[in-house]
Amino acid sequence: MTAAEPGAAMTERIAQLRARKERSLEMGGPAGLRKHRESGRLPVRERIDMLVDPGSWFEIGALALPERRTDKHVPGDAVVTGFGLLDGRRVGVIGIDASVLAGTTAPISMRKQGGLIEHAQRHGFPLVLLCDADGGRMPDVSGWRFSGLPLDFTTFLKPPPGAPVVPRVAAVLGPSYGDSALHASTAHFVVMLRGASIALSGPSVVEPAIGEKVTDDELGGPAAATEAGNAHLVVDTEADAMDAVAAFLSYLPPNSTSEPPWGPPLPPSRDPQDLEEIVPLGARSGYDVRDVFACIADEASILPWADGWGGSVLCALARIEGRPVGLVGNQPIVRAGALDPAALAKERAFVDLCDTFGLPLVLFHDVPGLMIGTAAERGGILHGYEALVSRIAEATVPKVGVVLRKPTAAGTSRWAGGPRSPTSCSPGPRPNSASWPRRPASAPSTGASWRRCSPSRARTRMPRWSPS
Amino acid sequence: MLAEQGPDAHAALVAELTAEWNAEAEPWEAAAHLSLDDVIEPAETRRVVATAIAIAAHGRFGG
Repeated sequence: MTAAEPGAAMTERIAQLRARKERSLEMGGPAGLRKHRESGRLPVRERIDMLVDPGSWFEIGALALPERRTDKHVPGDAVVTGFGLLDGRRVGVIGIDASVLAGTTAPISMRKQGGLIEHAQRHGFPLVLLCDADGGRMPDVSGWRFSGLPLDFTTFLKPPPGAPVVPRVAAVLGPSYGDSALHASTAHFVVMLRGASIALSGPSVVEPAIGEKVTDDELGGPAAATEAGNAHLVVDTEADAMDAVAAFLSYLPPNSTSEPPWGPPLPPSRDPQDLEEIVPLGARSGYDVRDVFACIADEASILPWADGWGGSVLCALARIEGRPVGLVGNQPIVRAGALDPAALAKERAFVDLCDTFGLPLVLFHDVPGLMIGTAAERGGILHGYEALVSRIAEATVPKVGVVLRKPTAAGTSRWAGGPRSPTSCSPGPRPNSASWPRRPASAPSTGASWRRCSPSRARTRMPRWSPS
Repeated sequence: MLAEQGPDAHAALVAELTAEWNAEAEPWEAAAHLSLDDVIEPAETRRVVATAIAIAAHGRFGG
């Protein structure tokens, strides 16, 4: 077959299209990209290349331009949206382009993001949000323009009631304020770079508005963001952030109507028999509940979730004999494991995550009780406790309670959803060590090795999943 | 009014409006405002259609 020779007019049109496509990939141009790189950040298109499987990227809205145009070229209206495969599974991606106009949001970029979100939700696959932007663009969204913004809150933040939920993951890769921060706050998992920050409004707005002089790091850096529960994991490099995104999604189904993907069953990184020594008999001795997790979960399958938020309870995604589960454990070495308002809020969010996506909950009890007194009451311990207990009670996934040492009435019967809902064991029966081969004594003491769930490994771990 | 200015003025106005409307009708404008997800080369059509179906065929949870 010979290709038809296009007419001169068509040749000219195709040349125009190619020129425009080329310009649409420029991001902030040489000057904008240089400045962006000098601040230690990667251009948004390199981030996407690092995230999705090679050759799988399918972009929409690349030719978008600002509604309010100036001489400045703003490719795609400062955001890149599209679809790709992540370890062979479909995802939708929103990447803010902070190399041009600081990645600020304007009407077209907002509509572009909303369209991508709706598409992913309508067809039931996860969203990955690459956050790095400085709020709304002025004057594009000022005055009357603000009320006319094409933002549909019935779909933008989550699917409408009754519609399946899709996993949302955010990577905070630079100063993320305004819309970028709001994106992250909708996510089930937020990983942030050590040098990034996240807050409702940045220091440049905070100081003139309320007179508080504060740095990006003080306001929303990793310490502040994890303590507030705004970020769940902190990493050093953008590559680590993309690995964490892939690792998180590897535990979850594409949406809340599907089953989570299994991995091959693996032995735990610590011999379950070690539990005899890890958990002391004395009520006053401390131990690290992560050592318990390591005896229970498949090796290299533990992804900590928000250890920096309400640290007296620890939550982690993991696999047990290949099946994705949520682990929840009181942490005796943090305030003896007593639950404060932050710990309750964290556990509630984690239980909601697991129940939404069908991950069984395994709850390890060793709790002296709830924090009481003025500080706890002012922090909302009362309604925080009620909210957690209600959410656990509502959860329909399998709930397995293991009493490690000292449960209280609040700790067992209510904390795990009533005495007959979970299968409570005290202390947990040991798995048959014959089927759980012993590991060498030099094995790592904790199983917190999420990096080993990186895309290449995760790909081999999901034999049951086939992309549509 | 226009008739009083003669046929040249009429022709000039027609030319101006035609150019303006043609520019508005360009696919670039539709794509710039997101009336189109993309503008593609004819030869890409089959591949793009197949990919778009693959993405949308993942699940059906709304119109």
